[in-house]
Amino acid sequence: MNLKDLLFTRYLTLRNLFIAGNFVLLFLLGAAIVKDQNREWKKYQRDFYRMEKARLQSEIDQATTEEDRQVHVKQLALVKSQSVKLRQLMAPALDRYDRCITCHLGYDPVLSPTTQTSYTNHPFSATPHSVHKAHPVERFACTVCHEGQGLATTVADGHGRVKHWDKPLRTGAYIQSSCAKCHSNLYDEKSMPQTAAWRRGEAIFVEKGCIGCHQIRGQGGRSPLI
Amino acid sequence: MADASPSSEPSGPVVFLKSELTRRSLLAGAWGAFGAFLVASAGGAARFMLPNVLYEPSQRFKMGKVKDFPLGVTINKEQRVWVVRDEKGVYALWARCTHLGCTPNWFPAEVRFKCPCHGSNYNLDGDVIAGPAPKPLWRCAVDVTPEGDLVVDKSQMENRPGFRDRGSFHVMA
Amino acid sequence: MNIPTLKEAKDLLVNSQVWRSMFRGGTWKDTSRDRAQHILGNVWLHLHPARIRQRAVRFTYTWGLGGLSFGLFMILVVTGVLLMFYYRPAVELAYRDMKDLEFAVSLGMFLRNLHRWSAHAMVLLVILHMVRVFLTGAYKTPREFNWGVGVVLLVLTLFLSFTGYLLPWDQLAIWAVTVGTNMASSTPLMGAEGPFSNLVGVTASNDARFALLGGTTVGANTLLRFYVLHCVAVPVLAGILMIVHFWRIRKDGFSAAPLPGDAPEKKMEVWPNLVVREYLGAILMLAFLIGWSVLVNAPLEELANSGVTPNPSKAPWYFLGLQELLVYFDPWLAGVLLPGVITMGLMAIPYLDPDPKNGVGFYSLKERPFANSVFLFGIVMWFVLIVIGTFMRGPNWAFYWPWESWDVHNKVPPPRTWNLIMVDFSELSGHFFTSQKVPGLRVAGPLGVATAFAAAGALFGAYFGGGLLFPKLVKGDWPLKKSIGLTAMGSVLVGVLAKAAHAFLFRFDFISKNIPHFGLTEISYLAFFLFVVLVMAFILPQKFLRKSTLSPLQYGTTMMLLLMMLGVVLKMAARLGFNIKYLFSLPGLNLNI
Repeated sequence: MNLKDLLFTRYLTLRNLFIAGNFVLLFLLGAAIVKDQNREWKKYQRDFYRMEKARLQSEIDQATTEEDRQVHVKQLALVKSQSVKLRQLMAPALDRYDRCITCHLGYDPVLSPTTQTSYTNHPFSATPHSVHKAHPVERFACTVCHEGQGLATTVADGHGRVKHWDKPLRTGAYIQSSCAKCHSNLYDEKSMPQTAAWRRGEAIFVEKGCIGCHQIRGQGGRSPLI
Repeated sequence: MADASPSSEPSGPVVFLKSELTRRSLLAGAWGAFGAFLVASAGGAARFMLPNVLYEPSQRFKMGKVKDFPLGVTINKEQRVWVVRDEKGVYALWARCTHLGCTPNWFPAEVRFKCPCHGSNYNLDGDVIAGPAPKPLWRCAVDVTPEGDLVVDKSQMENRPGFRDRGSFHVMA
Repeated sequence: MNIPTLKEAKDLLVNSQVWRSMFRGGTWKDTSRDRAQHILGNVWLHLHPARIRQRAVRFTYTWGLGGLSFGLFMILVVTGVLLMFYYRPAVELAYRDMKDLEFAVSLGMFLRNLHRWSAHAMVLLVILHMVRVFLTGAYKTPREFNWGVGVVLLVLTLFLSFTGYLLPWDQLAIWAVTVGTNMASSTPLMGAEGPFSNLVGVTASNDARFALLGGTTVGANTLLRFYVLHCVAVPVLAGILMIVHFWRIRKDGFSAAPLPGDAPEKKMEVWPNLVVREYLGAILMLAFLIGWSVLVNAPLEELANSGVTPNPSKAPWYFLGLQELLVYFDPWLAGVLLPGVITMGLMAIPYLDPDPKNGVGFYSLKERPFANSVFLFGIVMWFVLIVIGTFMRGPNWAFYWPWESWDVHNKVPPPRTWNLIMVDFSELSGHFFTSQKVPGLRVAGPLGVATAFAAAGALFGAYFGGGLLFPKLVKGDWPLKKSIGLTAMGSVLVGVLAKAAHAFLFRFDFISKNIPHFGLTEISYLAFFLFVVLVMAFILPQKFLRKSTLSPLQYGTTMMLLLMMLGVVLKMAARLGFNIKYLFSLPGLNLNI
């Protein structure tokens, strides 16, 4: 019992526990606050602002006309006025509330009204695309076509490649699988030019016989198990 | 404390000036830590109460091609903004009465905005010509994109004569 | 100008009119009177006495469990109210708000974690608090009523945790609550699928489950209803009962009574001795929970989908014991009757006590062997069932060792079950040893029905009647260790004899088809459960209850509760050893035992 007595009369006394307890309590709350403040997305935003300021400054320095220079000066003022914050695109009619632009700042209509950037690195790249032009982000947000988890703000969760989220990010030609959510004229090459992969896929679907059991838009097999 | 042995050191701030760590200073530090904990908790709760995302329409929005706006007043009900074109250009008024915040109505025949709540009247510049409103209507920052779209920014506002009709609050297009 | 020292400034403030109008007392002096006044003059502390017996203050007496439970309740209220500013109890919004709390709200995930882990901790601590109070005899006269209030508080704590479980509206939530609330539809008389319901016109649109869910499935109405129960109704009710609970503790004196023969009680001042220990307990627990909440996230699965049931679908951990019992009993028994009997039984404990003076105020493990054995047996059984349900049940509720992967393809399907006695009202007959494939013995007509009822009556009568009688019939005083040893050997012998009997009777269809295997596993089940039941229901009662001062009603109630608890064990043995599904079955009335 000697060790036990020693422990309780010298080290684990009420006074020591009181002192230690209060400091530990404060420390742990501090840890909770620090963890909460150190969000992944803040680094991406700071990097983007830094890159934009540098780029715009060099554009201003190299500007040939006054008009050109003024455009860049205005944009630089806009970027400088931005704080590091969560950004959200809303498409209430589609029930989509997407925070992708918190990191993919090239698509933020406030920061870059053309939703294009010249950067090539992820997540700052925002190459022009005719489909993006036809579906402005202010009306459609992002996930209705690209899927992933719009409400999330981390890389893994946002891209939906996590447990308990069954709609991961669609990339490349797979994005075309979203077109059928709204468009019914996907067979028409002229009016739906960007959906060649969809048409090829649908051809394979019929060719290989999948349509025997599975359906596309009501056409196909009616197996009760599927 | 009943089970604390009396200390011979003086109390209060004098202790903190001494470099040695006494039991008393540790206790005082512990109480300080608890106080800091309470303050941090309250601060954390306060920060929690301030939302980081709003499900409100964006403060900065596009309103179509600027050359499409006719002379006179165009109403944007969703954003609560009047876009006014006169011979000098285009500006945007925030449709909020400076009295107590109701939305005035535009009467084109009388060329006035009239507030239904307490009867304030404004002219096209936003100045108060009748009623209890204390200040002119606020104007939102406007801009034109390279493609020719009108962009209105409600996060920046101005209502002082002389300031409200130039710079980012007035667009010649 | 004379700049005052810190102490002088403090005195000026504390003696000012503004301060004194709010807080009486002025400058505190370190005297006995002022230390008492800290307690008596403070609305938050004045439930404490000013002085308290030294033994009642020791941490290792109460482990602070009751106080910590209340502290956890406070943490839950604070975190809960904060969460209410962002959470909306509508099916279109609830899940989205949970995601918002995780990603878009400052400290949202931390507060949600803190709320969930505090809830689990509170359920665990109130159970441990109950065990502590039992082991120190602190439920005995005059504290019986307070024990009952405590049992109700336990049920309310479980209900609070259960209603809160639904609110995230994910797959975990909706199916755990579906499983839990389906119990309500098995309530006798008041549940659409319970016994006797078809006699009183109770259907799925007006039974107890319908009232609880606000509909026929767990949907929008359920979410709103559970939200109101969770945030308003049950906390208010629990608060009212807590007021009574704390008041009674104060009025009846804290339970660490002086031992007989002690010198006159030595009392300590509550300020600071008890108060500092309470403070310490609170901040250490809070620190632990904050640390846990920083490190471990509360789970959130997919959005609730009533068309897809996860496999397995498990209730919250404190109900997994009941869910495990559902393997052996129909829902009306495992989900309604047993919990009801357990609750009533717990509340009855103080009134079944033969000696109110025995073993109060300290851990009287030696002084109350029977009470402690029976109670601890129940608690251990409860937790063993929870452990089995948590770690050893996988997809399709098949048995998996904790280290086995949940691969559905390797599992042998469970063996076919049979019923011992069955009554069929539709074709008026009695059946014995029946299963789907094996018709067994069938006796037609009213004679068959009467025989079946008589057999069932004899079976249950023998068990309960014999259980009540036999302990009283023993004349001599059998030494405990020896009797337990003999019982062990006897149980093994019975197991071996059963194996021999099985081999002999294998020629008969009703044995070979219904009990195809009777190997070492089955013998072990039989021997073990028989040993447990004999020791608990016979050896211990005959030793400790035979000569006690219990009135016949008290003895009868005690033995009935004990026999029912052990009946659960026996039924498990019947199922695991012999594949018996129902001892007695009356399908026409939904009555299956």
